[in-house]
Amino acid sequence: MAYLSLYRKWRPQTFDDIVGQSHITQTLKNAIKRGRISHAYLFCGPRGTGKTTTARVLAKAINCAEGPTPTPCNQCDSCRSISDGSSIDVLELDAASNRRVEEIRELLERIPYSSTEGHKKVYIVDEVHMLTAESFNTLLKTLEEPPEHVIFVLATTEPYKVLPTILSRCQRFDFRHISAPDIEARLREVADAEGITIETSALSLIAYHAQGALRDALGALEQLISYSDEEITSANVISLLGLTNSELLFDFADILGRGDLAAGLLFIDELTEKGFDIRQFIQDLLDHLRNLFLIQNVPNAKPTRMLDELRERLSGQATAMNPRSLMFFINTLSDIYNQSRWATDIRLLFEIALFKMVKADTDVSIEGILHRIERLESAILAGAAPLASDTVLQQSQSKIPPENEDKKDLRSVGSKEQTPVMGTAVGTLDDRAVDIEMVRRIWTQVLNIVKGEKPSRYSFFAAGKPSRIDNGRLVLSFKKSDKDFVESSENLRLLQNAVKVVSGLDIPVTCEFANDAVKTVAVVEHAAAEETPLPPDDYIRLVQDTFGAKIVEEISIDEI
Amino acid sequence: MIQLLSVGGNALEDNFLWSGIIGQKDAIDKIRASLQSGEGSHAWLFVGPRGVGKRTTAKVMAAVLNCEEGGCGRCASCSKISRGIHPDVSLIEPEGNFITIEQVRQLQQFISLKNYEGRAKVFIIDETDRFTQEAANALLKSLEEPPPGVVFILITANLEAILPTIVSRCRQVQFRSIAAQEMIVFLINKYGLSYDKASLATKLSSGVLGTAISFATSAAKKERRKKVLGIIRDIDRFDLARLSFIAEEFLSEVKRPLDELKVKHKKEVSELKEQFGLKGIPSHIKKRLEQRHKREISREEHQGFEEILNILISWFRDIILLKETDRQDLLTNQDRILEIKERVDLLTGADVYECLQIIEEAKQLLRFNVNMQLTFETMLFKIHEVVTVQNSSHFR
Repeated sequence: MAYLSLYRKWRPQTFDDIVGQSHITQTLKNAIKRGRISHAYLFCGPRGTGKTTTARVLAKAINCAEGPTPTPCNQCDSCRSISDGSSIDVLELDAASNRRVEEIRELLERIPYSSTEGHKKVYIVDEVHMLTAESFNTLLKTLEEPPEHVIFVLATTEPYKVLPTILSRCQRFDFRHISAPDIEARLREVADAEGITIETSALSLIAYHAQGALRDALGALEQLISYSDEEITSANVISLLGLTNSELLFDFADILGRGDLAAGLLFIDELTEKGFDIRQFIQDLLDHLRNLFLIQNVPNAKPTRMLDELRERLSGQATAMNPRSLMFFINTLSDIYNQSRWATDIRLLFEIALFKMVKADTDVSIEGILHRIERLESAILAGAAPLASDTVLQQSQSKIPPENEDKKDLRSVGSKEQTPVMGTAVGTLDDRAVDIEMVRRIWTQVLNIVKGEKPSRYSFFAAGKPSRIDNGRLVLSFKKSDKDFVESSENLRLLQNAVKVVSGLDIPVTCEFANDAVKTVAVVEHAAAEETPLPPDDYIRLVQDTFGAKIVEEISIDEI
Repeated sequence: MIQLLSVGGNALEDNFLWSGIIGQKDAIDKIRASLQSGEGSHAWLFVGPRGVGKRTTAKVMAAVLNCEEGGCGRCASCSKISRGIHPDVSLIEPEGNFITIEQVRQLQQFISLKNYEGRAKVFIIDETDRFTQEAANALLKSLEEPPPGVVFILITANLEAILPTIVSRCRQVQFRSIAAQEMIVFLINKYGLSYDKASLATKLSSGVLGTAISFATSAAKKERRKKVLGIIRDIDRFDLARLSFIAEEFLSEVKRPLDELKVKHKKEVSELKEQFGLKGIPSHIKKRLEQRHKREISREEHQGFEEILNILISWFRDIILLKETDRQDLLTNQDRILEIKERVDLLTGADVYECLQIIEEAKQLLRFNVNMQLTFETMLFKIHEVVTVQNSSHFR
């Protein structure tokens, strides 16, 4: 097993080889040139950006046979022993596994002994954020004033976990994410040196996917080398990284744009059949939608992770897609993406999201409603007749009373963002003007307003459900205990106001028991239909429905 | 503590070599290609959903690395690995809830020892997402530059929960949910099922082979499905008292098969007692055994709950699918098409989705240590509410 991973094999051995961190390497080189080497350094930055590497190169530069030099020779004994990790003067310490104070004490005990061959003793303490608080404190004095011959280099990905007293004793260098072009250039170098042919577009895909970490990029390259025999193409990269074929992304975005739920469901079904990773698909879809968004707003932008030949198609789709709907899709999908971290059934979540995006009827967020409005508008523009079944729409067209002047006293939320759907009508309305379905649809918003107003009572109100409109009153059904609490004139007024704010309707509100609801609905309906008492059979059925009663025996009244 | 591979609990034990792993062609091609080219990485990370063959693949890989003939499946080395007693192949998995720094320290000691017999020392770390902070960090340096001949295979179903510094040191291999068609073919060939039955078992398994097998072969599970579907079909006819009784029934439905497992555990303990005789079982071994039993029971229980919820989901998903696409062939519950059709007209799409969301919420709660009786009750109440409110407004 003499084989070394690319990221180990191609670990930079000089400052100039270190990619994308010139602000650090330049400073260090100058410091060495001028003999101003500090006794304690702290290297921090994300994974795979060169912290450990820089620490080793620094150790070499200091201990090289040619004296402290910004360009270590990599030939002399000292340099070579550092490269293969056998140097006695450069000690690399894993702070994460030796985090206890005993282990740090042991380290400190050895510090007074001077170095053997080199000039300085360099302690590289990697993953330093994992030291315990006691360990950090044990280090403090030595770190502040170590003996002449000692240099500390601390490295960590999480500098905020390091004690401030440690931070202030070190020269701190922050390593940056390496830019994609820098990574690409380095990959090209490595690929050429290893004699590998690889498409440029493939390299840029890897570079983009590595997200600033060179080690990840080299890892991916290595895997590609062992995986493919001939020239490495971007198709190889897509399959290796498990990225989704852009064809699929275009198709699905089309489905979203069309609002075709059936096609979407079939699509997801097929994804699962074929064993696709739904989570990855959502992530790639988000990338794709982001590209669309980018193109809609910045026509000349260069979309990420997009092959040139697809650009035209991308702009085509971008023009076809409604910008606000696009925003809505992106929001919904990123919600799902975040949830999916904990979800057990990502497919189901995705399907629910699809439904939300396509139907949006259940979604009462502002985006959701805007999305619906835009869809309706474009349908009307396209010459479609308004939906006859949509009562709300009909009503808003048939009777739009003049805007009321007293709109100013409405809550700011209501007046600014939630323009009344139906205009403001004052006084009692007959049952037919107010549709219970409409109230149900706005109910979440009503509750939100109540929540802002009286958070303490919100949960009681939330337990209620708009049940029906009865004689121009909105009837809410509650469970027993909640009803008693809610039913005060103050609370009812609160609800009434909130309904008014959202819908512009001023309807009195009353409460009832949830169990009564079914009964009264039945009773009211029958009563309305024929003012006569129910026939006895219906009473029995009512009792059966409500209490689950069974007919045991029939006894005539005379017998009792 | 480093545990040697334990045998049992895995339905795939008898299929050893590469060919025995179904539905992971891409992943296996990648691994094989890089092993053959001699450019194998020293650290691998297998990522993919639960129960799709990651651990089995890791074992096969360990065997291939150690076998003279590249994984013959017959030699002493291969057979030791398959039985979990190879001295150079270790399995590390959470002790209790987490993999601790103690376990990592022991691993590090073990790394520096010379190989007993094998050519490669393989560490398989299962549930890598369950590392404690300290443990994960302690592994970093060993993971980056281990001594020659050491190979790490990390396994996880939840990439997000792993320290990015660990991920970046490993070569990632993506495992996918097993494609439905492949699983169906496997079930037909292996268990002689009819296509319909194999397809049903597959759809109910959420891509986990072990679950599909048990659906296909166990009569108890068939019975359970019948019961659950019967209840959810008629949920609007039940009152709340009845629903909480049903929740209780669900619960006992899950608990019943656990008794068998408990009997098995008791037997294991008494066998061990005999082996140690008068001295009694050493406490650390006893502790480890108890922890394993606990884990097995909670896993079994978890799967039982999930199964019931999956059945519920399949019901509502079928309704929406039929409603929107009108394609009967896509339905999971092929044997219930008539009943599903009836429901299609009674419920609106929004209602069905609300129900699905309610079930998914319950499913997410499973991950935490919640009272399942309550969770089931709440779920049923909520579904009941959605379904009945819809009905009453439908009749108006």
